[in-house]
Amino acid sequence: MNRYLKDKSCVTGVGETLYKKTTERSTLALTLEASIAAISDAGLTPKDIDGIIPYGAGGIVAEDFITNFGIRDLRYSATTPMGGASPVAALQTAAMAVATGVASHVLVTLGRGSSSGRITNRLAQMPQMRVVGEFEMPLGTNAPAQFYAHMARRHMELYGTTSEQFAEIAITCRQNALKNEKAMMRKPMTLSDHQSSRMIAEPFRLFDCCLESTGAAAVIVSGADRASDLKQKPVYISGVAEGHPQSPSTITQRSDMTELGIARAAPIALKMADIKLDEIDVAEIYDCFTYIVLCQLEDLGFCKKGEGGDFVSSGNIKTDGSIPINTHGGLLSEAHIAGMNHIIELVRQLRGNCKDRQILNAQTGLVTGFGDLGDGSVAIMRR
Amino acid sequence: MDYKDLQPSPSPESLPFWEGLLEKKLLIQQCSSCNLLRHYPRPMCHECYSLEYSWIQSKGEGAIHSWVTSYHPFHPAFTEKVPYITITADLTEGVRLLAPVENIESGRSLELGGKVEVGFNIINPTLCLPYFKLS
Repeated sequence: MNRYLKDKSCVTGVGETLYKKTTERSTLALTLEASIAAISDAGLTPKDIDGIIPYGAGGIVAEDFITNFGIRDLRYSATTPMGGASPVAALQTAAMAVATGVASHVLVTLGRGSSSGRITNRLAQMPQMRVVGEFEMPLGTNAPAQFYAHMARRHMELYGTTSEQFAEIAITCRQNALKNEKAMMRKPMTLSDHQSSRMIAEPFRLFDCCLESTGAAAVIVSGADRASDLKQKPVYISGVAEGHPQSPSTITQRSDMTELGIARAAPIALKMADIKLDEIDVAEIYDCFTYIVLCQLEDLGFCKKGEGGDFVSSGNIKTDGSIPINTHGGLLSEAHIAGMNHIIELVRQLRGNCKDRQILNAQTGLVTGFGDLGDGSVAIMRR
Repeated sequence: MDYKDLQPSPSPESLPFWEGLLEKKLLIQQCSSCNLLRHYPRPMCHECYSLEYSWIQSKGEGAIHSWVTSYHPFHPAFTEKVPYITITADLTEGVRLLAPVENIESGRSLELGGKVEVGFNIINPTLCLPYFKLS
């Protein structure tokens, strides 16, 4: 088992813009604002950045940062085109770059401007959606809610999982968002609110689906040997991995459509970090849809396959439960910044900066990414 | 129904599949070297890496693997159709097929393993799509 990356890198800076429903500003302007905030948080200047990992699907490239930051000598750039699994997968790539000395401070950033056009058309332009674009979209399966509803329905039929159990996840995220001034959703949600929200792609109701947001977020990954000189207390990346499911281009042909790529990544990251799940104090779980959280909790090993419904409805994921999740409100209630906001929240939890929503004495945490029909990524961090 | 941006752009590997549908045949790709069936059409056999393949005609019979009932139309082509149900079925040949199911009121009557048969729905002179009926 490769443990080379264990604690070789740290998140040294985090930053974001306001999160809003729409914006007049360009994705690039938002991304640069969040990036400058993260660089400043670390106590660095833009010219200190020598590695850049922009969001693969965002239309922003490393050249934009060289131009706007006036970087003279960028040493490393890459993208991790895995949809919502990209930001956490980018942590692995950034950790490799700084651990090997290729770069010293890598900027990982992601921005979302106001979307132009339907999600179907946005997806159809992504090369990793080519297969579903040809064979599934013409048949009426056009958007993530519909793709993932197939997985959720299968899980419900096999294991008796219920919509009320999905609601536990939405309600938990909302409760946490109420303590987060940045969160877009600040009204309490009840089970009845969830169950009476309109059906989108059954079994998913509106409140099973994440928000659509604009804004940007960024983190700085630095070599552990550089981190002690910087402004913030470093947060170490102790274990990190990405994982891809069988039949990654289409869920319908996947031998087990209730297993995600993170099932392969989780044991690698845990072994690298040399910790067990019961040592994790807080988990920020990618939550594009409620079911995707439930499935990841199983694939991570917090409970067995098929037991996710009971696990979430027994209070385990609440702030006083065995594994508090999505302390910022997640994509369901804070904002959809494709999970970069989950990384930032975990760093702030481990720094102890989360005020009302701080998980007491949080020392070790976990953050996941999920996207592109099943790709997964996970990072285990400690203070 | 307006399909303009949903009309598939077949690849050299998938063209026979789409042409087969226009003749009301559901074709499945078969490796010429190890005889493994695969779907969706693609260049290479993932077991033996052969680039040679031929096609067999499916019997068009399957069992329900999962389904979704769409209430929100994510594309204008489906605005008039909602709510509609899309099924993923295990075909008897061993690959899966996604298609809408016709003549059904709600998803409540569906269950895993329920039997379905494939039908063919001509959309326009260059596109025929499969659908399922409950058998």
